Amino acid sequence: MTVLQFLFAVFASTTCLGAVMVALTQNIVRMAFWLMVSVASAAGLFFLLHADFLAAAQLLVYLGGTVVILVFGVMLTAGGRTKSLSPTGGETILAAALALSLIMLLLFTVGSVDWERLNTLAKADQILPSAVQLENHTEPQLMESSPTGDERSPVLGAGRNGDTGHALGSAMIGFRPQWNRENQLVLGTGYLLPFEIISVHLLVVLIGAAYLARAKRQLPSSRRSTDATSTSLLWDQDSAQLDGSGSANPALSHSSPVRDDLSRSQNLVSGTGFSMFSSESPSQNSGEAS
Amino acid sequence: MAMLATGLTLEQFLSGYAGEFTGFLLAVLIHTLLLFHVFAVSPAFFIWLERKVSGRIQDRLGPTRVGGKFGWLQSVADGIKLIQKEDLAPAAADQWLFRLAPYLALVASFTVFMVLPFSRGWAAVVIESSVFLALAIISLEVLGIILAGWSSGSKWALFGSMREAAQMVSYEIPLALCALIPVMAVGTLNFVTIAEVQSGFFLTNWLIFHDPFTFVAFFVYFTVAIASVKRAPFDLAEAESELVAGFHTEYSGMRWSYFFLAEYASMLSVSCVAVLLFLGGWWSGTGLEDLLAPVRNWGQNFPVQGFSAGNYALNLLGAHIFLFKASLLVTVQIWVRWTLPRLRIDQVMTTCLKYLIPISCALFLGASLWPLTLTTILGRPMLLGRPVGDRLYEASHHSSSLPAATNVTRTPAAQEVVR
Repeated sequence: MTVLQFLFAVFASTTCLGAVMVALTQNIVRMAFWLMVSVASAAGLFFLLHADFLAAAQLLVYLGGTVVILVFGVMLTAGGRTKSLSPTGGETILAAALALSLIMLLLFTVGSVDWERLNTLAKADQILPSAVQLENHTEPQLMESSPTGDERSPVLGAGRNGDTGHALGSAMIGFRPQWNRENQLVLGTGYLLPFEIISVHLLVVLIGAAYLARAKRQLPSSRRSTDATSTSLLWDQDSAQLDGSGSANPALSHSSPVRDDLSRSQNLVSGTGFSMFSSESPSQNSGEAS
Repeated sequence: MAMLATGLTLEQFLSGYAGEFTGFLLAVLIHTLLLFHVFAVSPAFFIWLERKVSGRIQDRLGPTRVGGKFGWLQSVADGIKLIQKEDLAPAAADQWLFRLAPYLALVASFTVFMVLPFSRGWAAVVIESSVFLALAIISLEVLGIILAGWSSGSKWALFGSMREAAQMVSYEIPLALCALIPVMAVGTLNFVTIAEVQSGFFLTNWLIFHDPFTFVAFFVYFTVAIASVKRAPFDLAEAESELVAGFHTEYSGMRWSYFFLAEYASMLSVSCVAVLLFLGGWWSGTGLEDLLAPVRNWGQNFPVQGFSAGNYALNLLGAHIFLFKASLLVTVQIWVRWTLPRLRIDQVMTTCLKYLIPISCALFLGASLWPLTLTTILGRPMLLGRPVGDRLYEASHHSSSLPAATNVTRTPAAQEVVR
């Protein structure tokens, strides 16, 4: 057993252990912990594959971002329901069906790979690196400055040992070496379009989130609006507090289209998303409103 | 702690004697032990320093009894006291998570040191995207803290950890943006390369003086870094005057001290990142190292590069300079804590969302436009000194030990052994 195999075994088993424990645990915060274990071990697997940038992104996005926000959300909503989650019969069936189809997909993918060919390729590759290394002992060079990177690297355009950052960055802005039909390395367009689409999408999401957050703050005046029929307990307290200043504000006059929008969005918020925060009695909001 | 450019790595060296597996384990052990000393000894020193500095700022003496006139051994005495204390877990707590959470915080703040280079070739793990990885790991410490607060089963702790989560999620953005600005100036995410190009005279070569935007970015970074290690004036997670002790209200004894250790180690690690990105890494800034460069050839060349007598001496000097600069920044953090009043939680969030994020976005934009503008007007990308690209090129060709060569840019964990 080589070091690599040993480390792979360690990380792969902790990834699986974390995933299984997420499914078996009842307490949602402990689930978050097991999710951390699983996600962090997956990052370890990426490191073993020399995909350093991907591994760091995995840690930053999933561990530092998603899990933190998950736990944060649980803390905001912590009631009796979230302390122990046990699925109902229908949920169990649905989850089992999903899991089965995923397993089938995975098995299909594993079966469709030509492992023999990969093995021979890997063995051929194993002879090369040592030769390359000995060569580099005598004459070091900046791999990152070479435009096409190391041709033996599994990632086109990347230096051999985990320098995927430069290759990824160039691919994102539209420079990606790829093999053409004559088996030559040429510069392709990379992932410029998907990258731009994702950036615009994220911007839209950001603006949307800011809009929803702003609507909450300007709500007090909407109490006097004709169509503001659903005001939750919290909004009422706010408007009572800010009554004087709210009515004195000329910017939020009665017939302003902006305000109508706001009150509509408020209906949306208190109707759907906001009921999450008052888990004790969801019906209380609508009762208060009518 | 040796990952090298032209020689063998420590792991390869040990593998040659003891076999692949044992060599790997030995190398991991040596690296971890050395780093653990930095991780455990520096907080002991900084805790003593904090007591002493706070005492002086408040016109007291601070510790004076343990270990002579200056109270040198105060931290050791504290440690012994904490080990003896009872390890309590409240009945309302989620016992399992409650006991686990301090270790999460501890592990996260320790892991940052793995990717920090302390001198040329002295880093446990050299990977190409080490700046990114360091920022990712710095953002992980919050997990231990919010889990600690949640599992305590106490209102104070829950409030503390909610504040910590909100604060950290927002402050990560300007932290990453400000760290990107020097990265953009050099064009690599590798700490080692970023530090190497800052050799020579500090006014022209340190990245803080690279352009006006990196200069401002350093101060923004440092402000955000103080917030990200939850020190006053941003210590809302702890907030002793409102929340008893915040997220660690229910902790006692060793588990409490783990949080303390993690906090002081994080102070050092964010300062180390600041020194590497802005303040010239392990270079003294006087150009003295260029005069001393021939020393590197002294002594018999040990197979593990960086361990010949001359190399070792210069690396040791570099490591001392590096840690000295980082300790100075930690001292500034202590000074700030005992000088400024604490902000309220809404003020903390306002500072970040309304001021620091727009400022860092503007700096980011400015730093990316600056070389373009200068090249258009002056025909060169920098006002003072030589362009970073030239320095990068020169460093890689003149000194054979710029660790940008292929055989260093890999994790020891994923190391294949030369056969």
